Amino acid sequence: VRRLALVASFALAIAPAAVRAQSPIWGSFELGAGRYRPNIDAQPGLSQPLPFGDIFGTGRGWAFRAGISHAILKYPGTLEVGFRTGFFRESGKSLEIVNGQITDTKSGDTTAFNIIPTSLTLTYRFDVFAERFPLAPYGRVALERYNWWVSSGSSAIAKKGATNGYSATAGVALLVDWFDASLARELDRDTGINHTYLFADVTKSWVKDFGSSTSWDLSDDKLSFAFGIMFVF
Amino acid sequence: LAVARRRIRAQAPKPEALRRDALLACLALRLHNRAAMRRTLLVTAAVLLPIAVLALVSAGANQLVERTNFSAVTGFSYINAAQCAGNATTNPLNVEFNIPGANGGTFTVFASNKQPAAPTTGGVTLCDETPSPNATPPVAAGPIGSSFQADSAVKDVPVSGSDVVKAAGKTCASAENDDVWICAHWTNGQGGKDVASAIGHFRLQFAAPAAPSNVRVDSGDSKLIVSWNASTGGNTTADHYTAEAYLPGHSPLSEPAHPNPDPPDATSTVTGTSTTIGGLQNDTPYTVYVVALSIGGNPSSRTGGGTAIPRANADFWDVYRDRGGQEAGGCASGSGGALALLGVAALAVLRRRKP
Repeated sequence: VRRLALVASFALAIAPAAVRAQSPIWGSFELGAGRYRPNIDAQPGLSQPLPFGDIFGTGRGWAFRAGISHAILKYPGTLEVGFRTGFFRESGKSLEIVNGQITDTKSGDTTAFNIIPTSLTLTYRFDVFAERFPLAPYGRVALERYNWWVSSGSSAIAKKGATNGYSATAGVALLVDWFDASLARELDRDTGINHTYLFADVTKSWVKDFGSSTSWDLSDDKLSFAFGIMFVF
Repeated sequence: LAVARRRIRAQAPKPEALRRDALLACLALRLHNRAAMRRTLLVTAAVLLPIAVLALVSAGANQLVERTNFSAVTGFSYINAAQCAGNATTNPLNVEFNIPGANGGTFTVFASNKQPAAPTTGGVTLCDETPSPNATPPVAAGPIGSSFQADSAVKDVPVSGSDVVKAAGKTCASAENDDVWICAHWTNGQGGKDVASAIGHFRLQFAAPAAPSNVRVDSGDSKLIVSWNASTGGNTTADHYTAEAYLPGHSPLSEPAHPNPDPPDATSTVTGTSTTIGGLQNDTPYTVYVVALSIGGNPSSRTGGGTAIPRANADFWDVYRDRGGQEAGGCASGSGGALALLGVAALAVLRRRKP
């Protein structure tokens, strides 16, 4: 009897969820945020005090992202190609120059380091059972291009450039529809949003122009944790 | 949106109204019915109106203002203690008036303690031009200076504050916030007397606020960044503050070693408690003071006296390079860009293949 119950449970778990009438799925849109700190100070040969920490301190700033993806495979699970972009900014005090030499004295002027990270992504989300058990693990690989600029106290752009790299992400998405299926259906009927997920993920990035000696390292100095909301439409 | 729609559905049965209200719900969660929208619009207008009024810098039609001492928030021009004691050369009232169509003839400026009467039969509102001591209450009025040529509709004229106060029957010891009206009357070139006018409502304001405290100065590139604690106490509240910077050898103080106060070499006036004094010379020490001013422009005593030196400074890029950073800027790697282009191309192909 126990064996039969196990088999029945397994069958129930893997059986497709009752198909409900829903609008066709094109892809997904997501908004997210996470803590980030570029690994600039890790470059060999930098003298003390290390420049990023000296100007911006030791904290991790907020990075915000938005992305849109197109589903190219919908079963088993969803495979999406997409584009993401966002914004990161860290600001601190400039250092005074006396007799042509940079001193350790903080100026009243502000300097800022700004990044617009952009990514081409390939994401696989295992959402086959999401309507029965509302968690969908996913993985993502991405080509990264971080457009950055340094602004000085007068808000002028002191220097700008772009650094390229790649990243890998693992995460889990919580299907919010699971908590109120009727509201989810209404949302789909009214707006075309089929599913809503809350997600959390962790990313390892390598953004240093593929090892170029004339590039700084904009990879996160640790693993990046991020969270957000995603709409499948 | 769905939640808002559900709430709306419970309140309003008509589907077409639901549609409109759902759109409004997209704009602001509170705007799910028209009454709420009207209330919100009224509040928004009430907030924005003073901002629009603050943009008023010149006299409007048939208006007379004190250009340097007019508050768009209260709608009054102010006569402060220095102006009350001053003349047309020293601390004058910088009056501007606007009488549309006035060209030719003469203008005469009058001051009175009586609000100008309703339009006369000629349709012109005028200040009293002569005193009426037996009226109840007694009216004090008189001309300020001589008549002058009406060569343009908008005129800027310095007016003696002490003459205005005297003509209006006031003194510099009068009660705070006493009202005075100043009018410009136009006599046209055909001899028509008082055919048009401009009217200004003035308020005597002689009290000064307490001095601000705890002045801090940071140096920037060709500037000093000054902050302070707000003025508290005093005979009136501080309306705005002026931060002043003095070059070496210059001082606002009158003392035996320095008998004649100097004007500041640079200033910045704000309503908040921090500002930036720009246009300074790097590597030059400046002495910095902050003064609180009342709405009428009566200054507190000066606070500060500390010295700071504007300095050129190094931004993050300068510091990074100075400490041995090798990043060169620009798009250092072409390979990543090429890979990105490949990705875009793959996307385009996938879209094209879609039936």
